[in-house]
Amino acid sequence: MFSLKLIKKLLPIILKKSFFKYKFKNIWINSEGFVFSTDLLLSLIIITVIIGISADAMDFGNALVGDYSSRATLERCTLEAADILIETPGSPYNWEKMSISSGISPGLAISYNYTNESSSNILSWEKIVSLGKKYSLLVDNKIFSKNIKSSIIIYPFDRRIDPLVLKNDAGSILSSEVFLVNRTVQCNFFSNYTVISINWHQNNCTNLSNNFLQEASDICPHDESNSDLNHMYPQENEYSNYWVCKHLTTSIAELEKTDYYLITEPNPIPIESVYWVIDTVDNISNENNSFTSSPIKLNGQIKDLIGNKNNTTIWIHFLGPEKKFSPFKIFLVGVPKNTEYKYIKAEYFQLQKCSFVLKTWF
Amino acid sequence: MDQKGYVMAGTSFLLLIPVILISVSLINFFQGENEIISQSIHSEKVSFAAGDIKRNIPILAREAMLNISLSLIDDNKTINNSTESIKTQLQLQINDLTATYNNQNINVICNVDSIETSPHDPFLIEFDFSLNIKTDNLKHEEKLSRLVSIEGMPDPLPFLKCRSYGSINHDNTRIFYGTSLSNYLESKNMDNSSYYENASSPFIIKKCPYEPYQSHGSNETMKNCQSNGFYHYSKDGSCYLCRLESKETCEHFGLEVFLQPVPVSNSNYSIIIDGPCSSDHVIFGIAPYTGHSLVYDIKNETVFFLFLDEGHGVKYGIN
Repeated sequence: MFSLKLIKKLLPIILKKSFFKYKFKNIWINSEGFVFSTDLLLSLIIITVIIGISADAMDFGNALVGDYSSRATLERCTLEAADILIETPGSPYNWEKMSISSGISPGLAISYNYTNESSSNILSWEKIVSLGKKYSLLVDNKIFSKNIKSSIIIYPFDRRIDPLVLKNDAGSILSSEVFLVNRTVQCNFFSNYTVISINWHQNNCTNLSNNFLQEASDICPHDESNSDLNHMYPQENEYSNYWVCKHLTTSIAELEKTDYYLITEPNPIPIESVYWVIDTVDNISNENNSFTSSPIKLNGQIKDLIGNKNNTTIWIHFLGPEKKFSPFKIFLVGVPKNTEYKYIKAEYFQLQKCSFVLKTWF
Repeated sequence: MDQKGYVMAGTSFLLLIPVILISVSLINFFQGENEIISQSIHSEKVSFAAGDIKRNIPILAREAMLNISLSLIDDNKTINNSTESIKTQLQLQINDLTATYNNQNINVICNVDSIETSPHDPFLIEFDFSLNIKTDNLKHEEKLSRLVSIEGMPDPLPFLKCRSYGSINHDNTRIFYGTSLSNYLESKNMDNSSYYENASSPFIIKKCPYEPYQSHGSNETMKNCQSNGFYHYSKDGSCYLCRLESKETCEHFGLEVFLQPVPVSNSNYSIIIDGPCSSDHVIFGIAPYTGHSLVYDIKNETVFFLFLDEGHGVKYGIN
C-alpha cells in the first residue's frame, strides 16, 4: 500500500519528464521564437551581393558619365570658340588697334564697315597678329575656363608662306584628352596694301562693249592719233600686244610712309615681251621698262614724277601679249616703310586659303 | 500563399526603386543634351539667315537703283519721289529673298527704313534697314546701314531734261544730244545756244582722280579728264537721288560734269568767244549763264573746247 502511494505521487513527475523529451524531439518542426527564417537569411546574402555589384556599377557608370560630360564640354567649348573666332570680327570691330585689352571680345573675321560686300570666313591678318601678341590676356582665361589649355595655328595651303603660330601646342603631348578643330578659311594677309592688281589673261575676257556696267577702264593720257603711241586701240593681229593702263593717286606725305613695289607672279614672268611704263598726265613717257628683277621698287621714279606737287595721279601702263600664253599676275603694292623683304612676295598680296587649327586639352 | 515568399518579393521591390531613379535621371540627361543641340542648330540657322541677307542687301540695292535709272532713260518714265520708288522696288526684291526663308519656318522681315545720299560723299548712297528674324523660340533684331557706290551707274538727268526738246541717244559710254540740247537752251532764251548742237556728255558716272581740282589748270589733265568724262564734287550740283527726280540742283552735296560742245575746226573756232557755261547744273538750271571758251585739246586741226565762267575757272585752276 505504501508503494502505490509513492507511484501515484511520482507518476505525474515521470510523465512530465517524458513530456520535455517529447518537446525536445520536435524542436526542428516548431517555429515559435525565430525572428528570421533560414530562407530569408539565404536571400539576404544574395541581395547583399547584388547591391554590392550594382554600387560598383553605379560608380563605374558615374566615372563614364563624368568622363563623357567633361569631353563633351571640351568639345562644345572648342567648337563654339572656333565658330566665334572665325565668324565674328570681335567687339569693338577694330579691337586690334586698341592698346587696352579689357572689355574686348576677340574675333578674327574681317569687318567691312560699309561698302564692299562682306564675304564670310575671311580672316584679317592684323587681327591674327594682334591676338598672337595678347594671347594670354584675351584667350587663356576669357574664352576657355581655367583648366582648359589651347593653341591656335594657321597653316596656309600655299607652301611658300610659313604657318602663323598664335600659341604653340607643346603641352598637348602630355595630356590625355585633346580636341582639335580644323576649319578652312581665307586670310587676307597684305591684300589691303594692294593698290593695283591685274590678272593678265582675265583682262582678255572682259568685253567692254557688251556691258557698260562692267568697270570700263579709264582712258589713259596716251591717246595720240599716232597709233604707235596710242594705248587704246587693240592691235589687229592676235599675236600682237595690248595695253592695260591703271592709275593711282599719291602724295609726298604718302611716299614718306609707304614703299611702292611692282611684283609679278610667277616671278620672273615666263614671257619676255611684257613691259611697263610709269608717267603722269603732264609728263608722258614712252620708256618701256621690263620686269627684270622682282620686286621692283618704284619710290624713286614716283618721287621724280611728283616733283613738288602735293597730290599726283600716277599712270602705270602695262604692255603684254594678246594670245593666251601661260597666265600671269601683276601687283602694285604700297606697304608701310621698312617692311621686311621676305614679305614682298606675290602670295602675300592675295587672299590665301588656310587651315585654322584650334587645339584644346586639359 | 506562403508567408516566407513575401520577403523576397518585398526586397526585390525595394531594389526596383533605385533602378527607377537612375533611369529617370539618365533620360533627363539625354533630353537635356538633345535640347542643347537643337538650340544650337536653330541659332546657327538664324545667324546664317541674317548673314546671308546682310550680304545680299547692297547688291540688291544697287540693282534696284540701276533698274529705276534705266527705266527713266530707256522707257521714258518719270518719278516724283526717287526715294519712295527705290524703296518699293528694293522691298519687292528683298521680299523675294526672304520668301525662301519663310518656307523653312524662319520668319524673316527686312524693311527698308531710309535712303539718303551720304552727306560726306555724293558718290555713296546710304541705305538703312531693320532686320527681324524669328524662329520657334529665338529672335534676332538688327538695324543695319550700308553705303552703296553709284560709280558705274548711268546719269539720267540729261534724258529727263532734254527728252521733250528732241531725240537724245546714248551708247555705252556717252550721251549724244543731237539738236535737243540746243533747242532746250533756245527755249531758255540763251544766246549762242547753237554751239551745243550735236554736243555730247558722259553716260556713266566715274569719279575724277585728279585732285585737288586746281590741277585741271594743266591742259593735259583737263584733256584726260574730259576724254574720260569724270564727275566732280560740287556743292551746287545735284546728288544722284535728285538727278532721278530731274532736279539739276539740290541742297545735298552733289556732283557736276561738263557737257562738251561738238569739236569744231580751227577756222570755225576763231569766232567762238562766249557761250552757255558747260557745267550741267548751270545748263539745266533755272537761269543758265555764259562762260568764256577754253580750249583743252587740239587734234588734227580740230579744237576741243568748253565754256567756263569765272567761278568754275577758279575751282579748276584755269586762268
